[in-house]
Amino acid sequence: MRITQSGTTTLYLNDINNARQNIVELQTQVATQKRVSKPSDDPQAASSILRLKSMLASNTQYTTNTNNALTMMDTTSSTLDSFASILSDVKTSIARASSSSAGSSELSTYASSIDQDLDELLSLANTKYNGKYIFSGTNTQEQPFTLAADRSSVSENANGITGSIKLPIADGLSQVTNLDGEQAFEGASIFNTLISIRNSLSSGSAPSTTDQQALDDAYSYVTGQSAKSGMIVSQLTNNQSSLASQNTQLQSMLSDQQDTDVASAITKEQSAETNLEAALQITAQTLPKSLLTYLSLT
Amino acid sequence: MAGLTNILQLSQRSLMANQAAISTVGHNVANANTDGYSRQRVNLAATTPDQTSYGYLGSGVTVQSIERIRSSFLDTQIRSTNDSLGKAETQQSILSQVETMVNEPSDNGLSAELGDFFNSFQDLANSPEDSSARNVVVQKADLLSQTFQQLSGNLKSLQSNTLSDIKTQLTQINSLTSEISTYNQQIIQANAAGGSPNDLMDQRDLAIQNLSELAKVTVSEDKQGTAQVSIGGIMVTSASGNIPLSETIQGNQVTISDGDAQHGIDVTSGKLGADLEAYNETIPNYLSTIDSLASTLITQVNTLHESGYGLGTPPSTGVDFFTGSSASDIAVNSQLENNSNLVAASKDGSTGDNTIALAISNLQNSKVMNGNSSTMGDAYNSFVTTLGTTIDSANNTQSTQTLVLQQLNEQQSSVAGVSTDEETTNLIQYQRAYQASSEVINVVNTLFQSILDMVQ
Repeated sequence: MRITQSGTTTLYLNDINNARQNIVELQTQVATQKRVSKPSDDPQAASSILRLKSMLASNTQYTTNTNNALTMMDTTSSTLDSFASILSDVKTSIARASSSSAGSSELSTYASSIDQDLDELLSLANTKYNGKYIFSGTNTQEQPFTLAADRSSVSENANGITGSIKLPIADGLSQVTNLDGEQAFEGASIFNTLISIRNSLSSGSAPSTTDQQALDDAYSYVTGQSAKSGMIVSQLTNNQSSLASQNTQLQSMLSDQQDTDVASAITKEQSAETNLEAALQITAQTLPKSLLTYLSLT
Repeated sequence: MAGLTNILQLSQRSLMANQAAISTVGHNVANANTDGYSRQRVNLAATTPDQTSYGYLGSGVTVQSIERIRSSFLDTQIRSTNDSLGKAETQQSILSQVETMVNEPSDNGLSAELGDFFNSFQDLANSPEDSSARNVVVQKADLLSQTFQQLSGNLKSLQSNTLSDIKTQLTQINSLTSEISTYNQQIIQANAAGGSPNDLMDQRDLAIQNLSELAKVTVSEDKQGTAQVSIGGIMVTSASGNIPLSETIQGNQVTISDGDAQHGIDVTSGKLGADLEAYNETIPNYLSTIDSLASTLITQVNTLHESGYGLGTPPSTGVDFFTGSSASDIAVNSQLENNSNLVAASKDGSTGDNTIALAISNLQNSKVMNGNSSTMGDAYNSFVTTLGTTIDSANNTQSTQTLVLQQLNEQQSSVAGVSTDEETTNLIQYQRAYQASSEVINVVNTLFQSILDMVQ
């Protein structure tokens, strides 16, 4: 094969160019710490990266949702606990009041204590958390239970106290994040039962067995709902930790796809530099040589 | 009988032939770095011998021809590599611009903003009675709309840049074909006068090679030496001159035709081919993908949003979330921009209900694209992946064809290129021959002198 000067010059130039290009690519990978910074770097990886990123965004959103649901349900659960504990006190007082020895003045003392309990229970049932009435269903801006001015009855919000608020907490999984007034206390009847008991006591007679039975039923119902909300809280806590471990996993998968293996990139870059030096050196040594160097024509 | 005068004439011919050879060496060395130059060789031949009683006596040397050394087979291959390389390079440059516009994978590409938009509705679902969550929804939707509009606008301006590239390339093609025609005329004249116009042929071949980067050409040579160049089956240069090409824009399509606009020319390769493909197919396809994504988003979100209720007394309802119908004009309804309380989250008007917000957010998991076969995110992902794959394959074609072209050029330079070492060697050879011939003349001169001396 004939070798010509212009042929070798182009050849050397191409080699040097390739070596430089290689170095630039590897240096970019090291500098950006990203193996894939545009889709054409690795189309399949780019597609995985987009998918993983959107999964991560969903995961973050689910975590926010779970945290919100958790604080709501925590509040609901502890409010119901307090509610049940007051009811339990009320039950004890009524049991004492019902004993035959209680006189009418004693009964009216019980009546006024129950009247106070009524206020406390109402205030618990009208608990506002984060700007929302937690037991008013979806009408979160409206107070669910209102005591009449003459304290003769408790009424429910006319627009309704029902409606569940759901939030997605994982792919395809939604969690109810509230107990509405109907679910938590079976509506206003519990308060009206207490009013009826208070009225009996203040009028000097022991509360009716129907009312006592209703009170017992309400107590066990609320205790049940409190347990239910406690269960939701523990489910949400589990979900929180599983979201966290998913997040870690997604992050590591994302890093596998898009991040540079710095050690290997630097090693490759160094070898590419050696390559370039060799190409430059060979070019410098060979290019100036020609027959004319050794010949003197006379 | 070989007279002394014959020997003088013989030596003179030798001097002239070697001089021609040395001049050609000079020409070769001078053009060692000229683009498209083919080395030339002086073919020497012995002249007709004199018949004598004792046999044929040699009468010296003459220059038979000056030949251009070049492989026309390699030229054909170089031309066909040129057009695939030209196409790949142009594709690469256009698509890389699209890739930059798309800006993926990143935290502010369309993919991330689409996700942010849908997730902002989940934030709203967390506090549906809140107006600050609504402001965030509107803000995210604004960003998303702007990204859609930018992408669409950028793609359109890329398309119009491509059109001006097409026009520039046609101008180049026309000027090259006219150049080729001029060389053709000169070559015909030179051929008629006898002798091979090597340098004109080199320049014409170079022009054809440059033309082959722009479009796929087929070349045939007629008896008089005219190069007939065809593009897309239409002869653009012939003995009678060149036919200029022009472009016609009809609707969104650009077509190429010959001067009288009578024959459509299908250019699928070379830089022009790549630009035509980008203008007529690739960019419109990308635009329609983005448009259908935007229009699906608009209708799906609006349908849900209209059925829902915002805040206020009485709660607002029946309000569109987005206005517009494509990526170029998608925007958040200005009513919502002015009053974010109109953003609907509730299905029944109660302030704490988040059903609509959740339903809109859940659109990101619904298969609403491509005949209900994929989600919006999937459809966009596959657009990005396809873009990446196309660029990747253009990159591969480009580097393969570059290598092939390098090798072909090397081979051609091995045949046609000037080796200064070789020329130097030839120079010495011809120099010595010239010196020896001069010596013969010297000797003949002394012979004449001897004869003259005899006479004295």
